[in-house]
Amino acid sequence: MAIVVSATRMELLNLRKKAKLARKGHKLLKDKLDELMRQFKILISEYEGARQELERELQEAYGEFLFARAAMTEPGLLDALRYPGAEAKVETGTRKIMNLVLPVFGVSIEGRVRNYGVFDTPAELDEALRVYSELLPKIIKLAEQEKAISLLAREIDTTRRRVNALEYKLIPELEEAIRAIRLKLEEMERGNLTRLMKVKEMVEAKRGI
Amino acid sequence: MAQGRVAFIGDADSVLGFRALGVETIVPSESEGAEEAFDRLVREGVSVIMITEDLMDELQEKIDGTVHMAVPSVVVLPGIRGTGRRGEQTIRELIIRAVGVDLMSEEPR
Repeated sequence: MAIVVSATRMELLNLRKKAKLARKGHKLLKDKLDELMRQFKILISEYEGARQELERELQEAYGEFLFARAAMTEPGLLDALRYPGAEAKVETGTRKIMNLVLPVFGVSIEGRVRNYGVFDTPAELDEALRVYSELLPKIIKLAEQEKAISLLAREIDTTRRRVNALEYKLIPELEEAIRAIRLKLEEMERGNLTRLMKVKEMVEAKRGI
Repeated sequence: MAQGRVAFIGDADSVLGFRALGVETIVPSESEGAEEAFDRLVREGVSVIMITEDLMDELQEKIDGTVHMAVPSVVVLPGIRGTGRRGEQTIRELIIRAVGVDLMSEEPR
């Protein structure tokens, strides 16, 4: 839809101001998009492969745990794990990329992981829990990375929409409107000039008689 | 730096081992389904919520509700019964939507 305004010099000035602003905004947003993209690529290169590795390790850990479960009775296992002596704590901080607030997690496991007796649990359980506790920081790291990626991806998406809206919609429309007004004003100018010339001619003709 | 907690929603076998580490483990049940549990964790300001892949469909709406927030961070993990690579797929789709191409190369397996 084209912008409809009355063809006056006032409007022309206003539209020019708007177009200038739009162009400035477009440039800023485009720079922002470039920077987001750059950060995004850095994130991806760090993240790449991390999930595959983690999933593989997790499968192994599950395997260990199944061994432990097989070596114990179900109630025995539940008893051993009923009252966890440890607490997984996550230090949650934030960092900023452009206008985005991204979480930073640092994990620590406090207390005793093996909060059960030595005699009624098999060694497999100890081993499984050791593997699990090594895995947890990696999972938390993955959570941090995936969150950063998804937040950044969304921001890139919306920023690109804005850039495109300015580039292909608003700025061309403004320019079109400016052009239309300028043509109209020039046309009026010419009309005025010919009228003046005609009037002058008529006045001179009258005087000549 | 604020202190946060970690929670894991999933079936008993996948979740149990993490319990010993002090991760809050939740097995969806009659009294508290996966969705209610998820809502509660978000309300309590848990930093990281792990869920198993098989709960992903059920919780998709809830997960979408947290994507714009810095916390909680939801991470989808394969359950003890194996992986459908769903978590990876989600991230891959996000990247494709944002950039237009798949930046993550398929790892040779």
